Amino acid sequence: MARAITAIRRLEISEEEQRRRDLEELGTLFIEHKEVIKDFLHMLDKIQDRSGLDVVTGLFDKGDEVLDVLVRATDKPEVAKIIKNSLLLLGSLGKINIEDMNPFIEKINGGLHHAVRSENKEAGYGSMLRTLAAPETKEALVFLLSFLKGMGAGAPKPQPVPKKKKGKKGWLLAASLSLASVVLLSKQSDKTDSESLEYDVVHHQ
Amino acid sequence: MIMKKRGVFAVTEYVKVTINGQKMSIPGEVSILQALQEQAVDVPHVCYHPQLGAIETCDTCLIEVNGEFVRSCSTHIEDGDVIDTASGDVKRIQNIAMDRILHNHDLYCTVCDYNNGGCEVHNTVKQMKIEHQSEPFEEKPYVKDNSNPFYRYDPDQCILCGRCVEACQDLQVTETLSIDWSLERPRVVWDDGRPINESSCVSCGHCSTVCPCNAMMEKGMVGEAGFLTGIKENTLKSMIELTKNAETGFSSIMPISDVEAAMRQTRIKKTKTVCTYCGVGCSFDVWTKDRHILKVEPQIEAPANGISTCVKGKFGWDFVNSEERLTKPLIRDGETFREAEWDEALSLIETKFKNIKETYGPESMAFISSSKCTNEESYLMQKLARGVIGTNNIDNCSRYCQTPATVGLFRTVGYGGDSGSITDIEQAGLVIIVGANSAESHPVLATRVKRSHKLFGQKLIVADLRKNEMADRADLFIQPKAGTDLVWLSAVTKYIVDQGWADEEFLQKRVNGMEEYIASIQPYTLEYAEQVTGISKQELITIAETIHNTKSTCILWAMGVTQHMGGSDTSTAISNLLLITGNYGKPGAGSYPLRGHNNVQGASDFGSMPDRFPGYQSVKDDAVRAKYEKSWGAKIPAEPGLNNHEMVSGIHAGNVKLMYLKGEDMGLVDSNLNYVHSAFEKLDFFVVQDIFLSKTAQFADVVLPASPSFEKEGTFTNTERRIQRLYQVFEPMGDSKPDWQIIMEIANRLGAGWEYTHPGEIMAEAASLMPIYSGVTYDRLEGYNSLQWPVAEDGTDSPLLFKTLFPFPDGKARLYPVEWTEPIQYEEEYDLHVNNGRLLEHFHEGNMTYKSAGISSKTPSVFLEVSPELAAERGLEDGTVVRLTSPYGSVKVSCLVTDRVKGKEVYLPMNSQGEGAINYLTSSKADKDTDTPAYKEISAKMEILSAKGDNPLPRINHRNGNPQPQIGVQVEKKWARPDYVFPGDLVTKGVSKRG
Repeated sequence: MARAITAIRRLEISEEEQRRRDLEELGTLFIEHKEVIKDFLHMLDKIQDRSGLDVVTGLFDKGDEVLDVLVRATDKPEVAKIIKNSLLLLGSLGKINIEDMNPFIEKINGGLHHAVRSENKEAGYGSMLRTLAAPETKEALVFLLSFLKGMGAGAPKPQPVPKKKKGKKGWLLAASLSLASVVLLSKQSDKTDSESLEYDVVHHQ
Repeated sequence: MIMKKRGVFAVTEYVKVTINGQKMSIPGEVSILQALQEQAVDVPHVCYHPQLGAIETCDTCLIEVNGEFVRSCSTHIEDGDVIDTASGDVKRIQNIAMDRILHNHDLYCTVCDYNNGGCEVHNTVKQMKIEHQSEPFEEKPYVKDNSNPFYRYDPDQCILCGRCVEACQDLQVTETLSIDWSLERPRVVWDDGRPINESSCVSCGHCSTVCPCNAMMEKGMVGEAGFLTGIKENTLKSMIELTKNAETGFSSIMPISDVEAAMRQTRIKKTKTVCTYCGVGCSFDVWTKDRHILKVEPQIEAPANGISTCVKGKFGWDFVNSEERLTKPLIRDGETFREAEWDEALSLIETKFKNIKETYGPESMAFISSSKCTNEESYLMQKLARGVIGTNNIDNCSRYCQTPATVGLFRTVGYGGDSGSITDIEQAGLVIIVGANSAESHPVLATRVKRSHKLFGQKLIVADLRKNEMADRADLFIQPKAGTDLVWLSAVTKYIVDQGWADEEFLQKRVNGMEEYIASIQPYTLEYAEQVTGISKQELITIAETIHNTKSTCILWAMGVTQHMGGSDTSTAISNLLLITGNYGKPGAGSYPLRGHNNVQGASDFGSMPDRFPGYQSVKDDAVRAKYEKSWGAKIPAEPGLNNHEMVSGIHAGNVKLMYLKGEDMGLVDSNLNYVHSAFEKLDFFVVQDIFLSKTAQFADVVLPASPSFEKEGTFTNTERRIQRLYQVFEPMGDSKPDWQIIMEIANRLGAGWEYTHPGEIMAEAASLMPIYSGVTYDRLEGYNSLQWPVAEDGTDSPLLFKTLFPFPDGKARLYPVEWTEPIQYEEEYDLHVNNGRLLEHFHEGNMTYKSAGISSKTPSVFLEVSPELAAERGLEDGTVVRLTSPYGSVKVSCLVTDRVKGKEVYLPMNSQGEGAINYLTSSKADKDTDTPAYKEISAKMEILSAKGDNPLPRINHRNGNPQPQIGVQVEKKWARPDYVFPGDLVTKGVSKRG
């Protein structure tokens, strides 16, 4: 006669047995991931040398508060403008052709050098005319006039595609790295998958 | 408009068109948008959805056709069309349209839970290379509606595309949602403008599935999907503001959200599975993060359901992670169970099985398989019984529901399954539903009928005791007296024959037994039928005329037909009617016994029945038996074994000593529970395998912890004979294991030596022995691919049966004479007829669905539906507690007064595991041909225990809502608003005539 019953006596595992099982599981994990654990411990050593672990612990311990302070500190018109300007500046930098600028910069350097040396000399119409007549001055005037002509003609043709792509990749990488650092702050790292991903990113940083 | 509503276009002819200056010949009979997509021409679109069709609210797909601006989603492509998708004007009007969308939607993608790569707004902004919006985002004067437990609506993010409304009104056809275009700032409204949770919303999830952005979102996603989305509300707001202020253009900010979306892929897992809540066979992706279920995401390519789901399939999976799950084997130890390790439990099972087999023989052992488990598990369970133990005592719970339908079809047409597909039901000219509450028991299948009936002129006739939703929608609703369906069906058939409306050509070429059959229906005159069934002659004639005047008829039936003393005969009568009218073997026609559980079809297909091997091959057939004996290396008895009911009787008689039961709560779902429980108590040894300590498991000596569908692989076969794979979402919880592994371990303890490492190997073995599955392989079922049996060796399957032959030796169907069996008669004191069945929101007794806090909040308990007449006569009101007593037992339950029932008919749903469990009232009387319990033939007397009580149906239940039927989103009302200007008019004065 087996009447319906509902009570369940849970399987009690002694503390000692549980400890033995946990250690066994950990041992297996350590053996399976020997190399990566060695590297990881090595990296931790380096971080600890610079008290990095204390900083990280503090950040994670108060993650929500830290993030809130950071975001609030950042959420101001002037900061928004800094970010906006930086983004615009980044865009502008991408458009400048540094190769073309090299001779320009050398010439400016030369000009500066002369300008500094001339500071102590007395100015006179004669010397000024002589300077104007000098071949170096003529060359500089031609150069400046070409520059002004170019400015008037407007923007050169767009950069070749490969350069642009390269720039975008860098931008994406930068974006992903910054994003990952915010993520680290914003989340309690409680899940294995995200842990491994986030660690990977930290490692690269 | 019909063209767009169907969303699917038949490709038949080619048209010559010019697209962006290039002449080409392309398939016609589609919309221009579809044609352009086929040709990989880039056209933005936001509101268009392939399954919903054109909705015409967003205007982003505007293009120029023959000099006019038109919406490409709703414009039919025609020969000679000159199409421009790339001109400056086209781009300009598309930008105007997108600007209007962004006026309604705040772009904060990186911190948005919907930023998963599929956001139509985000993707269209990128696609159109939009840098800035000229109409800035402006908040709407409404708050978020978080009232529903499963999804929330954020008006500020809603772009008013109307997809949700289209899905609710015309696909799901619950008719709850609309957009109030008369408001200064339009928004989606529920019913007459009430909170979601107090509306008629059935929480089917269509709206959140089709929403192109984050306006309508599953709550499982909120704060969980993104790396940054779980941030506190205030911090989040500051981040959004900062992002917007710092933004220099969308193109510089979008890569960040794209990077974040890509990162999400590493931790959000998307797994295809098949629903286990009914026989429709809905499949969908489950999005999970570790063991957290983010959402269920149906896919257009899902063969049975597309993007459709019901509340259980979309939101009812909390049970998988329930703390009540069994995670270790349990062994009875006095008055308690004690948890044990697998080795101990299996050793005990091994000893007991061997002892009992040796002492009493294999016939003393009984095996019950499950219609919830996979095909492979069903196969192994019967292989264990037959091949390892040596008994045919194997059955499954389709014995409780659909075996009579299978018998009726075997008698007449030769295959025991739906004769076509759900798409045939959708296309039918006439659908007759007999004894099936399909809107609640097969909700997604019912949506196809509701849609066709609402939009495409499909006729609907419903025969039922109770005015269920389909009855409410029907063109003709008849309420025959309980258990008299065979009479009216035969009378209609006779009338059709008498009128000369039988399909003579079909009968002559394809059907046997005409004369004998015609003679057998002679007693079923209209007068006799009217007298027995209570259906008027005129109504019977109307049914006959409607069938006669319609191109094709499908008949759908379920437990209202089968769970009677004459259930097999009534099923046969349905099939006879279809044969007489030639409604077999052609699209849009046929017989559809709606399978109740996810694998009722498969459990029987794979031989979990006492008289047939897998593939419905008779155990009496020497050649078949020899084939199985050879394959399994075993000796198998030639005599059929015991069915479920006979097993219970066998225990009482002392012949059955041991039972091994998996995935069935027989202690709640079998009839005459007191009798079943006392049988369980008499067993020498009882092994139950389940995910919970079910009522049945409480009687067991050993309970084995099994894994539900989310924790294993395998296949299910749905009501339309469609075989689909499910993939593993989670690891088994605790020490639980998939059923196939447990069965194998038991078999191997008994010396079987099985070495299956994956269910695919089991399917390969089974398919090699089952002609109707011979071409089924896991490779052919990869992803959303599916096959409908019979499947030939080359993989050719059979969506529509009997196109040329019926599977009988001469290829002809058989008219099969049947006689009416009068239902059980009760003493006069049992004066109420107790109808019973399912509710939409609970699966059977609810041991899975009550684990959902959301479902439980809306439907916390069972209730007894009583008619207003009965309420007036007995002094009943909502909440009155009554006791119903039949000759077999009694139940205690609270009343709900409703006109869904009439007179002395009461309805007791089966969602109770306690004092309200219906089967305390049912008898052991059963269908004379199959032993399927006559659940629907119960009468009882009522006594009032407490005149007043709480209403058992909370205010927030959808039955208290107030639906607002309309066709689609009524975009014309948007166009008529004074603030709406057709974008094309802003560029040119040439107003579209085709838009």
